[in-house]
Amino acid sequence: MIIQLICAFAAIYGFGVLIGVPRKYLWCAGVEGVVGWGVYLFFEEWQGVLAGAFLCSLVIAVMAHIFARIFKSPVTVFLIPGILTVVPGNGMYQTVYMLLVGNQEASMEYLLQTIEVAGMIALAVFIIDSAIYMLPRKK
Amino acid sequence: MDYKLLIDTAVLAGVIMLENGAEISRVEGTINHILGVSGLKITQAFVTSTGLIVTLDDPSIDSLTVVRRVQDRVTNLSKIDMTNTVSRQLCAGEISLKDAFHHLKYIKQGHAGEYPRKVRVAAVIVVVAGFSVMFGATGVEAALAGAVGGLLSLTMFLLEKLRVNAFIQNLILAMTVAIGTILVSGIPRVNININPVIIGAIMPIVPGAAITNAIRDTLHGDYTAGGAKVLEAFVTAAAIAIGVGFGFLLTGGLGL
Repeated sequence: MIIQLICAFAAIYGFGVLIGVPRKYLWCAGVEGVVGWGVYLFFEEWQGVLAGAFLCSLVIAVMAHIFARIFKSPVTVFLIPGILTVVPGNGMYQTVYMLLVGNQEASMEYLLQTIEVAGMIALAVFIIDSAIYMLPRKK
Repeated sequence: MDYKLLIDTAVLAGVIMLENGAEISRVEGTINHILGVSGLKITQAFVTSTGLIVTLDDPSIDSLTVVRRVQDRVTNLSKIDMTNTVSRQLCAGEISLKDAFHHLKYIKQGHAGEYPRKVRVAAVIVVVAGFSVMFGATGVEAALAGAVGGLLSLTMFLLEKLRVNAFIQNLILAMTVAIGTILVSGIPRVNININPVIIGAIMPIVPGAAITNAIRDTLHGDYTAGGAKVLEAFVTAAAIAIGVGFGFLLTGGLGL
């Protein structure tokens, strides 16, 4: 569990480098990875993959908005690396793998799960963006 | 005030943001903020994912309209951040219009956010190894995943030089991942589960940025850009899927 969280930090930090996150904000991306993955692991065990993905994206979106406010930088800078934590790479791969093995039923199941997880991410980002948009903003 | 320079500055800021992967509403917002400095009545920005149209109009002047086509598209969040800072400073009156324009020119031509090649290779390896552990890899598997990551980053640099289109690029990268994984799994006396290795290795090329932007553009009512991004995400995912499938078939990996 601890090792997984350390890896989440390293992975998202590294991804930040690949998409050109400014050096001074790289640690923020790493922190999002750790917290997001922690939330995901906790809720996945308890409530299943979808709840895990939803709550994880929710937490990451909130963190991205907070970081953006603190550092006066666009939300995108913190949201894109963070969201990678929950992007359903596993589901995408399993869909193809099962198809190649000839197990169409399992393949369809994974495809459905992939689309559902993507939907959950969208829903979470929608909710947080809308909520932030409604907050009073100082000029 | 020099309206021509103002509109050029606004357009330049918009182009930088669009080229480097900002959402549409953010690009339009930045352009409108900068044009707002003029205090003119009508300032309009119409931005799509492939170009932008900006107009500045008022009863007191002849209207100015600028159209720009945007060809190159990458994800470089540093440039978005820097452009945002310049726009903020300009609107707050901290820097002059001329300075802002020169700063933006410098950002556009500079290499901000493009980390040195060695750092990027290391980053790919770390990303791949990290994600493979998150998907349940053991220590040995993570190390081998790192090796596959190294192979992946080499292929990335090679493809950058060849300038092939994104679909083929992703397809070849995914194929490299599959073949590389099968090869390392063939090392005698090493018994590994290939799944976490492959999943970790495709994470650097999954369409995370496209998915995020697709969601946010759609939310803001920019359906054209949102739809385009959704399509981009699907096409990338398809390229990865086909690539992995090809890789398996070529190596006969399914029989191993």
